[in-house]
Amino acid sequence: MDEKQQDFNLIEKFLEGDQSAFNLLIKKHQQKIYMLARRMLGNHLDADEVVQEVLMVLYKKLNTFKFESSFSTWLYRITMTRAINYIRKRNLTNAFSIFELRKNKSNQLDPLDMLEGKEQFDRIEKLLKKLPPKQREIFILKNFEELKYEEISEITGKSVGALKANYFHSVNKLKELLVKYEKK
Amino acid sequence: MKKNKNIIDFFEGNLNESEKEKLFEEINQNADLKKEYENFNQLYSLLRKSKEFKPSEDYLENIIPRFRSKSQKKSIVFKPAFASGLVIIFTIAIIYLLNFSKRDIISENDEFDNVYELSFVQQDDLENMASLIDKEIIDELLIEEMTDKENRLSLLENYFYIDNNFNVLPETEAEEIYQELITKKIL
Repeated sequence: MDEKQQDFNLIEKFLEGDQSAFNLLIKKHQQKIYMLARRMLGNHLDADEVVQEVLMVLYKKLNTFKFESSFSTWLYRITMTRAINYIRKRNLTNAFSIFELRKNKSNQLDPLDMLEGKEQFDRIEKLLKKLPPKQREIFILKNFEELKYEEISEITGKSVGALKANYFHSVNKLKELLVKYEKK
Repeated sequence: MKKNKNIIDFFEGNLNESEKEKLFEEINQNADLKKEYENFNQLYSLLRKSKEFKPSEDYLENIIPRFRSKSQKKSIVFKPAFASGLVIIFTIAIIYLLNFSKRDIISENDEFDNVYELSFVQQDDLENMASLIDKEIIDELLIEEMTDKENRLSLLENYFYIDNNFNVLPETEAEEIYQELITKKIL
């Protein structure tokens, strides 16, 4: 049985009331959700919040899943939309009380901290943050998730031509930013 | 920019063998292009390493339990929108109740006045009724007693408090008074 069909079976079971099917479905995709959110938001705390939000959306909205596209495509769309909305919300609230909140939350351990070569990951995170959210989304889907332009088009609703141009600009911009970063 | 595109295409794996050869020939002849190639190479190697990063198992294992406990809490805790809606409803309800109770107090007062007035009316009526009943009983007794001639004087004495003055009247005069009284009472 292929991945797509496995997901469909789990969704059907969950919709019939099997809660363990939901757990299995999440376990299968949770790493992808986290890494997408993490690359979009650039830090663990925000990524973790988005992961929980995505899970809540999935739990409530799985009954609207139409079994036409793959679950992954649907999941990418939900995660990216949530992440972009979160960035907008964060930009608005950053100037206010959120600072105190962040200070308190910063005790949480970053699940990537213990990994070797974390500095390189941090460097990429910093560079990605400099891209506009929509451009960042395309870059992450293309480069890290290794999706085809057609698949990204299905997720973002943009034409393949526009996506190609966008990706090319993103890579160029990241290269320039890296050069500047190295000079510092 | 065109040169950059070729370099990006190379790193993305979009060039065939002949295109690759052509690109590297150009790179070897052009110092600026070589520098650009090195910059892109650095970026792509960083991106490749970054792909290898995965969150710790401890974190992943806790995602679902945390979600489950959060969703349980969410179903108990008030949402801000729900809470503010509730506050508005309560405020409207309190304002309405205050107005309603005010109206009630006014109507209750009116009612109280009415009852108070009614009580007076009823009291008067009752007194009137009592007096009427009283009179009827007295009339019946009078008729009954006055048919007996012997009792007439004592009866008149008791009932009309004539006392001693009555005794001085002659019997015929007393009889006339009695007849007059009895006619008035009975007819």
